[in-house]
Amino acid sequence: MLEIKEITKVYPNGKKANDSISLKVRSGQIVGLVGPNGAGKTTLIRQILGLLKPTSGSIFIEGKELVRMKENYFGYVPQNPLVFQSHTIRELIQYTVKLKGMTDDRKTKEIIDQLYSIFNIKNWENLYGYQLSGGQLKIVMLVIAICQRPGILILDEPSNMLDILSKKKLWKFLQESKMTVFLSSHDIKEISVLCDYIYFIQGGRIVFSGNKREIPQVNQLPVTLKFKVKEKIPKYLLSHFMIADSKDGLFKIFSKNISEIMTLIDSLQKYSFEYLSLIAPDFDNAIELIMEEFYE
Amino acid sequence: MNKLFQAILFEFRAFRVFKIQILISLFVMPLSYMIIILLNTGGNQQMSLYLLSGFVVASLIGTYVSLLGLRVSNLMMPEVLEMYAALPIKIRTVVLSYLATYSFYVLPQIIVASIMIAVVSSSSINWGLFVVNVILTMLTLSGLGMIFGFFFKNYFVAQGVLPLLSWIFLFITPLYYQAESSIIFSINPLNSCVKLLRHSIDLYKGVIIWDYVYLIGLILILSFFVKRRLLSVYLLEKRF
Repeated sequence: MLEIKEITKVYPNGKKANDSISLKVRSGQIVGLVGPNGAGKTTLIRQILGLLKPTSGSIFIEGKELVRMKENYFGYVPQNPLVFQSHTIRELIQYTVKLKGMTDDRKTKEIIDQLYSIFNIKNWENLYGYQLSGGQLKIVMLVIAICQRPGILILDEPSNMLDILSKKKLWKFLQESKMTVFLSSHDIKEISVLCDYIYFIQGGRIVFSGNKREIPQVNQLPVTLKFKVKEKIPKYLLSHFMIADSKDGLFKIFSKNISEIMTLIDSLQKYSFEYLSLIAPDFDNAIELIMEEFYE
Repeated sequence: MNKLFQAILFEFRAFRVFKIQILISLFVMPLSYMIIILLNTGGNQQMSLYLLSGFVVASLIGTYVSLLGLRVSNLMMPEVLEMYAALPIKIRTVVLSYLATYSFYVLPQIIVASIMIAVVSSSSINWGLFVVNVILTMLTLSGLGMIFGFFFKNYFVAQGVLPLLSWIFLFITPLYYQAESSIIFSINPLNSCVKLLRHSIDLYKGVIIWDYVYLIGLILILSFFVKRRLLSVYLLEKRF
């Protein structure tokens, strides 16, 4: 388990990047850290990795204070993947396994085989680092991190360069793996699919935290309604709703109140629905609303 | 130890794609330069030995101050440290693997120059002392290279400054020219390095004990700072 207690980081130029942050990542949990650019996510991760020293506060791993970088404890995928340019992917993975002393470990082999098959790595395992695309680099970093079977996997925007298919495969793998994951992401979909618990960071502070059930409740069950009707609808029907989009007759409406949306659906029925979709509670929308609420 | 061995092998493998550059910059160019120097001495034995001993120190300056220094500077960049944070290896092992790899790459130049010294020299050479003095020079320069690398955390600045520093060292050390002693020579550790090398090949007859004291003292100070930096946990914090 990872526990962060009252971490504050002030840079030499006086900028407070993290301000009294406390959070917990329990064994087997996937915990998300969401926040806009410059909110202090990367600074927090760098302190967990032992690259930056907290100005005050402590980090605990399995109940012991982290005072030295734990070489074997974390698996890490940085936001911007740099990889060794002059090694092939196969060599890099073998090197990691050798350094970790897991060359003959069956479980490690199984994980690598599984990841090879998920991302079709066999087809490009002999390419050099400099020959890879951004998405492939990210996959390599993911394999390197995961194959070490770390105590905690720290992922900084793990799928930001992946195609949608690879993203979904990665999410499925992480969900099934039962690994302990600390995930920083801008991708609300990713957070909503993967995370058991979410922390919102803004201006270096945790402004809100909660699980998937709690988050929509903060905003009185945010609801998204999409619909298209055959007939023209009078304007007054939608006048007090927040219309996000209304292209080609397809309306997208946000509301914080499910009962008023249900009333609207009732009133729209006589205009003959061509299309109707209701997301309630809308987790993505809830996150957006929380972010907007705390955005300075 | 196994991790260091793996890291060194990994480094050697990394140089595969640069094999032509390595062949040219570490072997062809320096050795051609050495031959040009020798051709210019017009058969003067003393001058040839003087320049060959200078060549040994110059090769080590290029390797450690420029190449190793740049590599360490690159390693200290946040994104590169993050990349290594993804691997189960400590940064000190990585730096030691760099040191071992570059030391290995400079060896052929040193060996060829030493053979040439043996061929040219007619007087007796104290090879034991010569090797000790080469090692002292390697330790001094590798220490300086690493300290410079740690200091210039911005790799792009280091790319400009470290080659310039190498040239300044070449300029203020009587490697390829003869000069009267001056204050610059007495505080320049590379002057002591080349003096010791020349002493072991019977070119320099003066007192050398203070040069040993100076170099060993400097190596101890450099080692202290290098060790402190390598054992430091928070590598993105201050320089030393």
